Amino acid sequence: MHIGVSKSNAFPTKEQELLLQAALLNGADGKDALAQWLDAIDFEGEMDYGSFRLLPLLFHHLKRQGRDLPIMSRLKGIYRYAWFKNQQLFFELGKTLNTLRQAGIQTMVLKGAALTVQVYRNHAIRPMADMDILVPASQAVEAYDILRAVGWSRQSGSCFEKDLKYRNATGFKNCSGIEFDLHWHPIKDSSIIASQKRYDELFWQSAVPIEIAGEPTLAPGLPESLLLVIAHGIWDNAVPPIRWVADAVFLIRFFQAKPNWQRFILLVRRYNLPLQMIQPLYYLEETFRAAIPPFVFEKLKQMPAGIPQKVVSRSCMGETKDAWHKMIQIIPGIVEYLRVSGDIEAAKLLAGFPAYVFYRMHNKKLNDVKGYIFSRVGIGS
Amino acid sequence: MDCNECLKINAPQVVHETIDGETILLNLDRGIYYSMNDTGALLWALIENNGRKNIIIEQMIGLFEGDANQLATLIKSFFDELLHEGLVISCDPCDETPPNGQNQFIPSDSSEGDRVFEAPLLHKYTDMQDLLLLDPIHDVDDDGWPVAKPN
Repeated sequence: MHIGVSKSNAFPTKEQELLLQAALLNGADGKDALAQWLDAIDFEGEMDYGSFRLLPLLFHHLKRQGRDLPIMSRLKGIYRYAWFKNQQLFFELGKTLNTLRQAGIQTMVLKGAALTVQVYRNHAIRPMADMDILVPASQAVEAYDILRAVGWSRQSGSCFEKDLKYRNATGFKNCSGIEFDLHWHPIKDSSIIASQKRYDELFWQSAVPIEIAGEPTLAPGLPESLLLVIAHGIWDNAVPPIRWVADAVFLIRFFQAKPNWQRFILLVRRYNLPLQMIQPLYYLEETFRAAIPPFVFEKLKQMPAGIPQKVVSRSCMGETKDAWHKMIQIIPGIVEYLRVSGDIEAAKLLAGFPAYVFYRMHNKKLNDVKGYIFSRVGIGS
Repeated sequence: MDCNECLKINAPQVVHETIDGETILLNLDRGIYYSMNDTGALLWALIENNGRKNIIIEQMIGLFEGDANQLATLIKSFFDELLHEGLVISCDPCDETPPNGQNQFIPSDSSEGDRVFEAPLLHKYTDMQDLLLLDPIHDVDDDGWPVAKPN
């Protein structure tokens, strides 16, 4: 395959933005963006995987607009390909959801699977490599044991007990190569695990019933999904995570039918994520005409954000590039640990932080850990 | 074949979607992918709407020009193929209520009796492991995935 994997940050490049606009905007705006995108890219050349994943949506949008292009038949093929792979994924994971339900474990599907059923209502236009299944944190160990018993194995070699303490999810794979992430907290940002322990109930309270391949499960409410899409999407990733833009635009269009921005604001406050939300929401409004009421920005801006929050926010958005920011990158590690563990006493911090660094380094040797700390403060390689 | 017999889609093992006039199907249990030509897609829509074989055959004869017996034979043969592939299953017509009380579903783009009948075709793709390894931009012919570029 000529589909490359490149390093990028959370916001689209100019070319990716044109593709998103071509796939999301109607009328002259979408048409102009498509013409510019086709001029800017070489369809026969290499394409980043983040853009490739948007092509089924582009095909769907162009067909609805009555557009025809020379590349249409190949876009249709990519749409078929995505439909096939998503249907297979849904079918396999429907069985897993059934296994968990039979064992009395409550499940909620997050992100792509939930959006496919609730928002896109189409199995092709949102390609997925895996599925995200949330279980109550109190049932995570039980779920882990059941999944291993029915043939799923962990993708990471880390200690599951430590994962439970410091992370929100772990990946599983079966012998057919199907993958999914088992979540016990919904949001990826490990620095807010302590908040998630307190507020996960908000996700379960507002969940809505859906079916995956005929199997009953739950999906988050729309405000919860919007929070998840942005909180997850803004993390720098090897695969350009730009589809958060399409997910968020579709969700906000659904909001217009049944707006619940107050709920979204409540969630942002509880999870302490205003800085992670403001910039993406401004971007969606300015570049994709997303209908976000002004009071949402006002409320988010009024939320208190201390220095630690600013540092964590800048770090997750990949904005810590210069020497000064490298110097203070040790702070996110400490802040992250404090927020994960809730240990604010000095004695506990001294005892717990080195163990946390070891965990984050995947239990590597002492020299690697020293290297990690030195690299965080900008000394050495 | 009993023409009073009824057919219904073998859900949930079989999923389907019509894209731009083309119907694609997937038998999830067997991992086999299918696509149909326009006539096949029309028959599939009629099965989904009201699976009574005799009614479907009557409707098709009304829609297309040509020899009625020949049309009926080709359509019955197509039904047999769908049954053989496990894409549809037989059902008792007494148990099936037509959706929305309709029993005469006519696709919106159909004009009665003026179309040339093209035999329904079911394309079957069994080598899905290989087809999934194809680059759907560069390794496919002009029809797009799953049709591989000729070597």
